Amino acid sequence: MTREEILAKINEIFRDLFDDDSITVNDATVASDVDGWDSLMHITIIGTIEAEFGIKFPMKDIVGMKNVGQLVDKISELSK
Amino acid sequence: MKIHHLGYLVKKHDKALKEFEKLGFEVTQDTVFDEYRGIDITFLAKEGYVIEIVSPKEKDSVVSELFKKIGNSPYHICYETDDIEKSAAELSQNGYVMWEEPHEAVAMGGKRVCFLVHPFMGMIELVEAGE
Repeated sequence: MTREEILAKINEIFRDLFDDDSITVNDATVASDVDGWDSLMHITIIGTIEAEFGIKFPMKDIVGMKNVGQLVDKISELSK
Repeated sequence: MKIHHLGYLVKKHDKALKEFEKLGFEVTQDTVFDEYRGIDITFLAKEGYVIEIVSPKEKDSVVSELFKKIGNSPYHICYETDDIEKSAAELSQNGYVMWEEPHEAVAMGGKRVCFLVHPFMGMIELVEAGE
């Protein structure tokens, strides 16, 4: 998958989890930009991404990713 | 894995205890402050069902964010396991994500507990089996 395809899939996941079709995340988006993206939702997002992409994040990456761009990079890396 | 208890999140710990007692629950372990997690914990039981009352005591407790989201509510089932690392690893391979890694719980006699979250069903706790 290309970076753009991964980001599009992430946007689908966010819109579904937050039940808000107006949400659009990009590389610079951080948790504080999205209302309701707290630590429990973060774990739920991670688990959903793992299920959708068929990958498993190392524990250090789950808490270490600072923005959506890093999330996309990690998905790209783990999907290879 | 055998069910150990149902975790129940409340804000007003003592007032909640009184309400559970009115429903027939009896305190089986008095309130303990878990400094590591910043929470008060009390265990109660009724007809074999064990519940754990949890309330945030510090602003940055492990359940403070959660309380703002779900309010007073049951929020996890805890399961006993003979090997917490092995069970956590197996669950992790089945879609669960680690929320809190194994660490001693003073309210459970120092046994280690961990919390995992599944994106489709929410949070569970594991506790080491034994006395």
